[in-house]
Amino acid sequence: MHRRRSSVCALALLALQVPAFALAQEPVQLADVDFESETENDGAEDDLPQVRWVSSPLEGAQEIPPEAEQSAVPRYDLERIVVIGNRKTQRHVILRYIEVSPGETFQASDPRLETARYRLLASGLFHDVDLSLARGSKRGKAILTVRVDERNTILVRQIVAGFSELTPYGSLDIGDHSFFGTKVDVSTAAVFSKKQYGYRLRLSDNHFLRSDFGLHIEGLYSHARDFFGHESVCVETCPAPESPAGYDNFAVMRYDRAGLRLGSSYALPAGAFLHLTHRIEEVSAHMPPAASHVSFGETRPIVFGHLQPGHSIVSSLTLGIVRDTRDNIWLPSTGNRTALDVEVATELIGSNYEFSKFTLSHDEHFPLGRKHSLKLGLFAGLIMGDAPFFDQFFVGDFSAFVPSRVLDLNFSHLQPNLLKTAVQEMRYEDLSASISLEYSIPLYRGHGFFYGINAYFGLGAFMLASRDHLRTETDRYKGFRAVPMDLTVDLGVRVDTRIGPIVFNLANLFRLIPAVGDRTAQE
Amino acid sequence: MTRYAIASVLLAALCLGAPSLQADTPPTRKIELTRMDERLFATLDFRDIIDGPLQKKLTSGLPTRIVVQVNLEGHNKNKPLSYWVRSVSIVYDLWEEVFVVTVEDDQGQRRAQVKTSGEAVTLACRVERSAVAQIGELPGGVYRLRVSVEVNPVSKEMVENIRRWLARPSGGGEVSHGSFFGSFVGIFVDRRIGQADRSSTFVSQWFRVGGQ
Repeated sequence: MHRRRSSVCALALLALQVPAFALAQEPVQLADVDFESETENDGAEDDLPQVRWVSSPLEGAQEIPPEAEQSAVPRYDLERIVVIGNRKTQRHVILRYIEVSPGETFQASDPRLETARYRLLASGLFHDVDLSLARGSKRGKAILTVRVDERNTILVRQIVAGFSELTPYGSLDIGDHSFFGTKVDVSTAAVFSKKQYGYRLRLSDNHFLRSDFGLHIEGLYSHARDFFGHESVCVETCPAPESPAGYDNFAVMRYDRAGLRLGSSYALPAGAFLHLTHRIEEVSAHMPPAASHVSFGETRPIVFGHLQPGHSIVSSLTLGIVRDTRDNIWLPSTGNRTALDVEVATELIGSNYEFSKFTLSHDEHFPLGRKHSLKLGLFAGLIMGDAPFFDQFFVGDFSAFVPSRVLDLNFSHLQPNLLKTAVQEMRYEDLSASISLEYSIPLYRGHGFFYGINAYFGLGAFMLASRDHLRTETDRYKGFRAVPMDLTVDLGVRVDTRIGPIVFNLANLFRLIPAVGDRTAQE
Repeated sequence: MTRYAIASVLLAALCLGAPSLQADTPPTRKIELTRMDERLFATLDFRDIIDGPLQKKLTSGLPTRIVVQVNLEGHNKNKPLSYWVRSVSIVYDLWEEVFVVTVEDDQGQRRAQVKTSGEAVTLACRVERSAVAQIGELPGGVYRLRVSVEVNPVSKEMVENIRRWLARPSGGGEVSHGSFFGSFVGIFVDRRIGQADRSSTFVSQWFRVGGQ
């Protein structure tokens, strides 16, 4: 009985494993046919047009004389270019992508015409682009018609809504990537929480003055605060008079930032881009005159993010190079992206802060069977000197369990501690490294509103440290626990849509739930 | 009991996997197949790929390219055993009012002029008794042809260029937390860009070679 059941199972398995073969018809035996002596006309060639081949079927392409080749494909003199369908986009913006000019003689198969179509499509301004030729006013002349179907260019780019253990917060980023039809990208973003807010205005032109250089300008203003101290925090007086435990949860620093960034970019061969940016900001910081906390088992003074009290200036230059060969920006399955940035702030360009910041990141995507893919992500960062805390590496940038910063504003005082290592003492630091693996499974691919849906599972490890505490063994952190590292995991779904990408992940979901715990302090 | 549990799990897993296996199998079309001098000859007809909009596009004065690839594959073999390709270009001459059809395949390049778009499509989308594979050295077994047709396929170089144009906006450094130069153009580009105007894949009926 058991054996019979096993046989049934085995048969079922076989049937499922080879569905295509099992359902196919009986293979046919090939018939031997001598075409030369075949007399029976099966009628297959009845509807073939009677044509005279210009060159012999057996003649190689390279043997066709150049003059015959040229005469075979029509050539025209371009009389003019007509643009149809551009209600908003300015005509000169469209003509910028077309490399043939009126008066020029061109072949119908000129690759510049195909290139123009794809460049226009890649501009992001149009749903569809169609090029066609029509007769000109005289024999041999042609009119090139470019018909475009414009798409909406004003779009919401990011909406963030969340709760941290301290405050609800939200942000909105909206922009027009062809401002008044000029292909200049203008966007504005705002972020709000109970006692913090920030604004950003961006302008970006990838072809400044119709050149290959891009111009990028950004203005930023924020009225913000951040939370310092690890445990047993005392602000000004110790023990804290208003706290039953005698300690505060953290010390608050208030600060305002107003700044401008001016940058340029240039496309290099092999898909690489170079960029140079100058940033200048005025920072106004207000911090308690004295505060202490217990860190690594010892009572230490709190360093308020290297900021100078009162007014100060941050001025820096950043040079970076990026190479991106991924097959898809949002749902990549193969290729890689590498970015290297070097930022230098020095007194020579008017900065009150002297530091150098180096970051190197590399993401490699490996295609697997059944269209699954695996991403290996590597990151390393080093800051030398005293960079303001908002330029340092933040724990929320690496751990899915701490809310990320939005427009540089932080809304949480949480610390990750899955491995219970010294990383729970780290927040804004100068050394960082991470490695992550992410497995993606495509759930849907289409051409409608939804382009694709991927489910993903990510697992990573990161290290975050100050140079002083890279490996400090104390009574509290011994052995491997002295190494400030932790793990992070995430699980979610990425949806690529006509209006932009949407990410639903477990970490975001957790953050939408107001934290309930022992941290009762308010921002 | 344990064996039943394992078998049930395997069965369930295979049941879940089966639909996707079937979904990967393209439709079958009956193809006229004959052999002569150890070569396999096929007659293919895929004129249906040129639908209304593409028919209209034929008179645009710009080239329409149709590429057909024929692979010989054995049962349960992932790699094609042989490969045959034919590329056809149709260009309408605005002043002569003729369609110039250029065919390139293993026989070389040849060109013809026809008066109607229907004739041009027939020349481009009918492959009449062409030798698509050498089967003399094949071991006895069951085989079939896999035919892929693309209209206006995009070259690898063009795909690379498109990727470069799309990647440009994200080429900026992250001077704050978010790409400064991120003008997000890539987000709004239709993901079909870089794909052929039309594409179709079908397989022939299974046929037996040798081992009678």
